[in-house]
Amino acid sequence: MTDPLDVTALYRRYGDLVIGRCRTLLRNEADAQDATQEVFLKLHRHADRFRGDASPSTWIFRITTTTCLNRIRTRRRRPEDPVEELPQVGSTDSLLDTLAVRDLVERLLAGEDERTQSCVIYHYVDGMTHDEVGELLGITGAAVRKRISTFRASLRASPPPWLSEIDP
Amino acid sequence: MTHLSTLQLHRLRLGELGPAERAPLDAHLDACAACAGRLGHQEATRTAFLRAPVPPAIAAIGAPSWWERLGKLRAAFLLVPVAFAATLALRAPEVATPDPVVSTERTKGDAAPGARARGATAPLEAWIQTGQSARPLYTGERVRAGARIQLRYDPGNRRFVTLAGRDARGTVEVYGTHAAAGPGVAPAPFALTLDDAEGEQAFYAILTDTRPAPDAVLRALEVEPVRMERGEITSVVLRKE
Repeated sequence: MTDPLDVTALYRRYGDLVIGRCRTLLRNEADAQDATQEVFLKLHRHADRFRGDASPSTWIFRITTTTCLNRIRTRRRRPEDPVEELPQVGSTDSLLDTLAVRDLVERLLAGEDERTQSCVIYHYVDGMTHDEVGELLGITGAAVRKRISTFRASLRASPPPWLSEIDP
Repeated sequence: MTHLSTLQLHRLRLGELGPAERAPLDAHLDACAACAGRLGHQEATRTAFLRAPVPPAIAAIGAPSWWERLGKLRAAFLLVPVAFAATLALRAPEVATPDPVVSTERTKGDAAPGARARGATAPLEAWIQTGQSARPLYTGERVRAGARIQLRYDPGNRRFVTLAGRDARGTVEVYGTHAAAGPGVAPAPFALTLDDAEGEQAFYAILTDTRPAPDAVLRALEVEPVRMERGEITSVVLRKE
């Protein structure tokens, strides 16, 4: 792992991963830039929490996702910053296109808890298996499966078109 | 196999996967245009990202505050006269100190191996992790099985870095290839835990401008002196016990 104080070196190596992730989830360039800065601040402050047995990119990926979801929740609580009026940024490397990610996030925020939100994002947007999500979040694959099933059940009333494409 | 995950693509691109983990992913990419496109998107994002400077707000994180800088300045004001007086008083003969850098040799193409110039930036360093800290290892230093080793390298202007190792039995292991982030010392994106095979343990950084095929890397490291066509090889040799 990079020297925890050498944030610039860390940024040169992993910055594109972070900002790409932020763009995918936040769909707004200014928000993505702010979130990227917040992520590297967290990495600097919590470098001692990095587990040597995990890969640096896995650790950074998880922190970036959590940071983005927190920002989306905060933004949702502040109606003066309506998401709908923000300019769109193209999708990056996710399995879903920009509109599908947007739809998914909106549905998630409507009524799911934070852990389920993470499970669904990792599974549907990033294409991780239940076990991979479980490993990342420190829970079992079965627990992930259950949370995703519950979320799918909540979509029965108005299933989005992207759901059948990636998880028939 | 379903599609590769975003994180798998990142880890593949960053060279964080070993050969066994990498092989099925490479096979999938050869057959899946969607995932190959997603990987291409990541690489394009990386290229654009590297063209932009580091934002000041990021560079400022972890930088010393004005108070810390002032503290260093105070210390410098105190140390300069003391050092000057000591130099005048002693005029001691210059004493060679051990080089804390462990790189042993660097070969370029077919050129003969040459010793690294003293004081130059080390092309490859091995650091041992001890608790919460780490220190550089000296050439030939003895290390125990189970020690955690972090490699650091300077790719110079080369575009790709392949990290590999060879133990005393001659077993070569390629840890992975990843795109270099430009000149300057960078840490390998992983740490290594030494096994219990006693004897010399060599680590190699192969610097190239194109991504080398894994079998070409193996061939380059199987015979002494190691050398790579259109590339440079730097090495660190430790002694496991």
